[in-house]
Amino acid sequence: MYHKGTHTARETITRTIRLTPEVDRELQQLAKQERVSVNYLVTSSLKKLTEWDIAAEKFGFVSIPGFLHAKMYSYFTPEQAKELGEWAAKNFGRDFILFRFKKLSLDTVLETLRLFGSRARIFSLQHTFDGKTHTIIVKHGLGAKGSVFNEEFLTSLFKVLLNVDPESERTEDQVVIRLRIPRETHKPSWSESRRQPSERRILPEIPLSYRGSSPSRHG
Amino acid sequence: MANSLTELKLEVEKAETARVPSETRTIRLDGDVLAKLEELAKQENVSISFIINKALRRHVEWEIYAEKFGLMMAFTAKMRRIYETFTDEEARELGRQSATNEYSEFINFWFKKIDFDTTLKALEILGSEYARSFKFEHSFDGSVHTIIFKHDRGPRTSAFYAEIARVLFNRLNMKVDAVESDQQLTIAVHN
Repeated sequence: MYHKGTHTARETITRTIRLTPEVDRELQQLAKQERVSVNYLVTSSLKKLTEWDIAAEKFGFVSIPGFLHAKMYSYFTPEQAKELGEWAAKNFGRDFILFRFKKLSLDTVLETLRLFGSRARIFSLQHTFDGKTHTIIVKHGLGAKGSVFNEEFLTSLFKVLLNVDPESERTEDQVVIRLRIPRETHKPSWSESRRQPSERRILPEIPLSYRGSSPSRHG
Repeated sequence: MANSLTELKLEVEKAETARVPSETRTIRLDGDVLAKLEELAKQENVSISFIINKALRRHVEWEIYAEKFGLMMAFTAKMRRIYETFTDEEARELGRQSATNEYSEFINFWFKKIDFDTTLKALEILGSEYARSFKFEHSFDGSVHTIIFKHDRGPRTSAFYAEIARVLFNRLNMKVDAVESDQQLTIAVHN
């Protein structure tokens, strides 16, 4: 039924799958509600599984209500929030990137932030690159202490893991990071020995917003 | 997003030979996604069909609602650090507030009413393989419900969940006896 072998991202392969009737029925109802095709639901769900769910489960992510998370930050002093942000970058950030991508590089840090935004729903992320500067905007909704945490987490990811010094600004619910990349740092230096063509695709050159999934209207 | 992902290819037909009732559906997948599914199936020593069904069940049973409700994911070690910064009373106060607000909202959102069964079911969902907030165990001997929250996140987390349980069950006129330890909370719930 399934052909073993190497498949590329460009290929699209037709497969017949067997579903339990209730899953099939619920998929059809959901597709109708969301005004998307069942095929879209199936493929986006499987993409999420391979891109995020397996790693998240193995790495020990848990689900919590967003409002509860915001409330937790209100108990912190700014110093505690900052210290937690630095700790999270040095430990959880580094460990997750290595666990998921096996190497630390600008590409894998950015891809991790994209996953945190689109898959883990930790924040809403916008990333742009104008050829010289990466601008990363994180909207988190965690309040002032959450902003301190996120600013420290994001700047430490770049400073500690990549040895580059970003500029940052924060407001109550948002953090902006600007990262100027000097030409020299485009050389393979952050433990990335070779950048494959496919990896280049994760550095978008147009604004992209990540938050949840907005259903495609293709039918 | 490749256009091909959105092209529903086919019809659904009854699978005549299956022992368990099932439907067959033909889908179009990106090659790299299929390759990862094949690799995963090999690692787990299961069929691709099994993995696909599991993923789709998770999608229809959990993901849609989790996203709508505003559940986010957090790294468990970070949660442990957060709880460690609380005093015992802060953890308990946060638990009481959360039970009154977020956890009650969660039960209402999922089940449209709050009673013993839906409260228990909501805790089971939060302890399921999807949410993984804790490992949930429930038993009933005919008069007392024993519920275990295995969280592995320290004594403040036990204090937090103990207060949540007290608020959720006390308002149903049920008594809660809690045994808190570093990595686990055990409660006995009875009338």
